[in-house]
Amino acid sequence: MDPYDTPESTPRHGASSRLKGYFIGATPLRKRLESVRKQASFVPTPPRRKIPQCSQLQEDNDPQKFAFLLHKQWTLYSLTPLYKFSYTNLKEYSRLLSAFIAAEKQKGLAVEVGEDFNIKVTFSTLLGMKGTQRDPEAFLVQILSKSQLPSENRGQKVLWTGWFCCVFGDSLLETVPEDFTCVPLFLANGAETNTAIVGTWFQETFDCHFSSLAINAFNLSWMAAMWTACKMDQYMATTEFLWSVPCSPQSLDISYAIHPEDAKALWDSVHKTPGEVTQEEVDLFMDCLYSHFHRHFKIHLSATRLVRVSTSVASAHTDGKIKVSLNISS
Amino acid sequence: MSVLRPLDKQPGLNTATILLVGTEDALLQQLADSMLKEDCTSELRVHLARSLPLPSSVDRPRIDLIVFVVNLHSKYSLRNVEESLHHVDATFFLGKAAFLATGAGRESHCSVHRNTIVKLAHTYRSPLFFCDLEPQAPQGLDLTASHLLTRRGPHRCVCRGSSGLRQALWIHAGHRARQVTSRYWPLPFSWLLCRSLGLVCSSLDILGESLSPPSLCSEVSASLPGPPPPRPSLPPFPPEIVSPALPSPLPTVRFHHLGFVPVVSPECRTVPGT
Repeated sequence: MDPYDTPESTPRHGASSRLKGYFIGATPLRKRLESVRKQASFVPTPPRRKIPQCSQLQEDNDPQKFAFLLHKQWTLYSLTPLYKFSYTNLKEYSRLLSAFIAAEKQKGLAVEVGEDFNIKVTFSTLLGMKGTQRDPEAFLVQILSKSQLPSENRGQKVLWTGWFCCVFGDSLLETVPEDFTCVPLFLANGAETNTAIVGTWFQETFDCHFSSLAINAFNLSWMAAMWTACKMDQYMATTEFLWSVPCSPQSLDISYAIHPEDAKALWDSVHKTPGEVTQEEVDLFMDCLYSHFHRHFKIHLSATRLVRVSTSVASAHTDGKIKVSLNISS
Repeated sequence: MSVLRPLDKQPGLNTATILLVGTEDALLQQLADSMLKEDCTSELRVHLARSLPLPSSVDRPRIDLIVFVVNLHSKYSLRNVEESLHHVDATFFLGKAAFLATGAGRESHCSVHRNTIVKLAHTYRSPLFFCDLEPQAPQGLDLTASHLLTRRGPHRCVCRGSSGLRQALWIHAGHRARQVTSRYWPLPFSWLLCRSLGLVCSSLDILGESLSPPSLCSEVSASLPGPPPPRPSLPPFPPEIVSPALPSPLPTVRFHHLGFVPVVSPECRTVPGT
């Protein structure tokens, strides 16, 4: 019953230049490959997940610096470990990435309609965005536009934001060899072209691979249950579910909105053990919603596919888009 | 409350009946059609049912194999199968039942975790097949149909050279039934694997039941969940069923590392089941 996040995908070993070293010391490689193979082939769904009571984030007394991460829609990607990434070279990485973006833009691959402006890239670490001490630090990449006109204030407009993080990745960190940094989750907000450019640069520089992360209905129901379980002082938005009915010629969408306090009351009646959430509770919570809907509309929602979950805390779409709408109280 | 029992009726001569249970009507129909297209030494009937129990008013032949089809994209089909399992006698799970899970290829559409169906198949000691019965991939259907059929060779060692790795590792229920959970592999790869290994598995069902001692059957069935099943009393083997074409003595399991065994199959009349 280890608490680990399922969106983290298993790392794939990129072609390493230290092949000779691996042949000599074959035993550690074999052990790593075996553990990776075991993970990839039979990942058991955790029967219960612990709600982390006190994470690293809360130890840091300044939640305002994460305020820019809220209320934005993030597109999720999963990432293989980065080779020879170091947190001390962030300035150099920002220089290289700025040059790369300028070159790409001059190639005409990503043409921005509008004024011509200078692009500045910043790399910074996000301290505290991790689950355990073993997790690598999260870091943030931002593409800013430098204003040409001196009359304007020195404020820079953020064009694109992306951040890499690893939260509770203990099971993945065991299999990662040295020289690799495992930050499997990448969240991007901004223009798709910029995401593609940054992704290409990372793939060329650190020999990693990006793939878009889709959240399946099973994980969405877990998210719905865990977010409904959060105790909030006031609820800003209704809890809403969206299902897609597979029918021809065009699929039908069913949207089901619940008052957030009713959803919380339902969860409280289902929830037994404080501090952890079990698979049975999640199934029961969703089954209650399905049976209520069936009683009124005679439609089996369990035969359809859950596509979107939206609560007061956060919302998630099956295409891999999440948005955290939590209001940070002072 | 009618419970399906494997041995309550006399077996038909040169006939095999397969029951497909599942909520996905279109997929069941396609699977049945492709099963009937396969070459078979004897007459094959395929019955389709949404759920169990079956209506007792219909006169149907003895069912030799039940395949429970679960669509991993819908929890409803899993619930339906779980409820249908209660209406099946425990002795069916000594080799006459199988689970088929579809839709594992599209992970982003899955509402049911793969492990749920794996655990279900493990609990019921029955084999589990993963495949994608999408209408766009008709070869998936044919391969699945041939796999299911070669497990059900009645009266004879029906072997095909391309019989899958899954039933090659299936040990007959006369021994302690050890089920193999097959992984979802892309179809051409599994086909190549089967051909290169060339394992041939034979399964004798009707004869196998009579040869397995009743004490072993009850031992295996006692570990299954559900109500304690009665000791299966084997009917006296009517002499007319033992066709003279069968060689004797006939073991329950035979493995050959020979490569391909040509199918000894003359024309076979297939009657589509209701």
